[in-house]
Amino acid sequence: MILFNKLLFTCLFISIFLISCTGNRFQGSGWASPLVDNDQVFIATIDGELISIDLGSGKEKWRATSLDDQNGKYNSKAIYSKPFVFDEKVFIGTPAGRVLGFNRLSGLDEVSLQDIEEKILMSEESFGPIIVGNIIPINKNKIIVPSSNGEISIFSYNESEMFEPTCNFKAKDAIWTTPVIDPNSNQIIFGSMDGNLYSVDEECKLNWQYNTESSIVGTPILDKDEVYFGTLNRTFYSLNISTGELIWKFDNAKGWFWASPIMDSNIIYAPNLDGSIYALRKNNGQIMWTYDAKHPIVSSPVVIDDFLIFVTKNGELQVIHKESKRKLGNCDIDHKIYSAIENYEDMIFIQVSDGSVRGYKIKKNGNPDELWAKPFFTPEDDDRNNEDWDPSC
Amino acid sequence: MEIFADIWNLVFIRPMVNSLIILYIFLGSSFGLSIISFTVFIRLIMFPLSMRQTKQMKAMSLIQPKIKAIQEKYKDDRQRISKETMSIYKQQGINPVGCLGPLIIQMPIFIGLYQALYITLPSSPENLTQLYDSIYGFIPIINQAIPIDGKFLWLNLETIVGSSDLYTKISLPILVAASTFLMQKTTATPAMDDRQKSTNRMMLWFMPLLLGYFTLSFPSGLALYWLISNVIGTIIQLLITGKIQNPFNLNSNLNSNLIDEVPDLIIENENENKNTTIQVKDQDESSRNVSKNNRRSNRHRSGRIKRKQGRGGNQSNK
Repeated sequence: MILFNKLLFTCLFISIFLISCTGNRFQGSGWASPLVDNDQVFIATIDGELISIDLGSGKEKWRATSLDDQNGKYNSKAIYSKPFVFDEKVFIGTPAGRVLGFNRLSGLDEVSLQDIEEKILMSEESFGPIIVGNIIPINKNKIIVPSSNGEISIFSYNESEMFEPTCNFKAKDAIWTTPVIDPNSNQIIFGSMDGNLYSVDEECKLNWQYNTESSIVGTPILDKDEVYFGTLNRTFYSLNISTGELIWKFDNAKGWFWASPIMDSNIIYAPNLDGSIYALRKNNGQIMWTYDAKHPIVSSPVVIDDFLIFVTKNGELQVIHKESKRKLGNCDIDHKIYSAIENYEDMIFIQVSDGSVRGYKIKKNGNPDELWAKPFFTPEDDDRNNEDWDPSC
Repeated sequence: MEIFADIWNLVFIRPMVNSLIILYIFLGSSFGLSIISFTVFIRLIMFPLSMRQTKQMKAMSLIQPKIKAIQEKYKDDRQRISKETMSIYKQQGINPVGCLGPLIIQMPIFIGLYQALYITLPSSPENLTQLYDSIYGFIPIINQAIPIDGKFLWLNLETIVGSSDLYTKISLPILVAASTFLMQKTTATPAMDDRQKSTNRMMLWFMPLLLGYFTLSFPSGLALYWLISNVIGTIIQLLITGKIQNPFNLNSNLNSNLIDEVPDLIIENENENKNTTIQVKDQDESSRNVSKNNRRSNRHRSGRIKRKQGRGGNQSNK
């Protein structure tokens, strides 16, 4: 019996040990895409930092550390929301639901939106207070903050350089999409995990909503009087922007539409977790071609000249011709990538989950040429080693 | 290694994830109820194994005096001890590691469920993409059910207990520890000596405390599974051992199939060419609940151990 007890104990201990070893599973990696502003690249990192990098050289200019306490629901400091520039300050939305502003040139703390912090931290909605979608500045004196507590909040910038809450709209579930604004009607359009695409005005009043019966994660895109978006029930929709009525839908995909689509020359390029990019005609949703990237695509692609550029979740950067879908170049980054590609002229910037940001110049033949690759590891308390880090492409 | 991961996902993770989601859909979008019903289902599947484990443990407990006698008798001959011990195991149809079988089978289920919960209730937004790899996406209702609402009673099932509110942080580890204690208490076998007694006592307190502590690093959903599993396990154990009345006559089933009771036995002493009798007392009430048929069949078995006379009978079954 002693032997039995010992074995029992050992088995339980091993299982507990195995479970304990998976603690890093609760660390989010974030998916904030880099922001290019003038000669700077701003990157909000896995470690909850905001870093300014020189566009040309990749040299670090400044770093704002310890942006957030781990007060959020997720045991993570990782930032999901893309930084944005407003009134010469660079802002970031944090996992604890805060919006923090820093001097664009020096990185010094300037603004903290305590109102947002207090309000969102009190929330107990299913996805917690984390800000996942990007914060959007509108009309030079307002910002729209989407939150995973299901609220869209509008704040106005006052003379004392502080944001004041103007209004908010509450969806039934988390909002992970970035709100988009129709320049003609000033409608704010966003999707929610509750399955609805919402349109609200600048006073947060509902114009219309369209129920897809499935979660919307990818940010919608607008073109004239239509809005386009995909859902997790493997369907891609086009709606009338004024009425919210269905124009067409495409439901022949095999997987979730997760990443935001892009549009170029009346063609919508919709990446899918089934590993395909679907090229759809914008006017009727007919499929033009499907490109099989072999691996799920989580991040939004970009178009530069004739090239459609995207990364797969497992870290392969691919460049294909946007009409012939011929593969022109690739680079195996070999680490998971969730963040959307940031495009600036003929350059692209990608945040990689190994804790780095990579810059590439797309050559005339479509090959990605590495500009620089920058690991942004924090030297203290970090077992990753900058010297051992290999950009490998 | 990748092929093992694929097989693991195919055999354990994907069926578990999809079962949990389907149960979630049909149980009014309550993931807590989904985990509870899934746990009941798992425990029902494991029931024959639990039954077997109990039998084996009981049988092991019953032959301990024999083993001890042999160890004393041949204390200078380890090879002989081993041979004689194995002979008793063989005679009584006991697999010495048989008690561990059900436990070993439960381990992958437990670890698989842990991973399934982690995948189904993502702990970070990007982990929701992992769920895509695990679901049967051809079933439309599964796609529509995502994301899963992890709220149940006062719990957020995807949240780590240690990061939850104070009430959860205190209540769940206590509940898990208490249920583990009960489970340990009902499955504990009587100790043969002081050393074993102290080991049993240590296990009885140490394991619940350890698990209670580790609950702080579990997602609440897994703690709920552990709690429900312990409660059901305790009830099953009480039913099997007849400590509570049951409509299925489970303890009778257990006893009728149990190995022979431990009789007084005679071990031939080859060296001195005379018989040494070792008196062995019944260890507990259940050892008397043995069928006559089993005793009769054992009398015909050959070997070095000769039985003088079996005692008791199946009075308790009458």
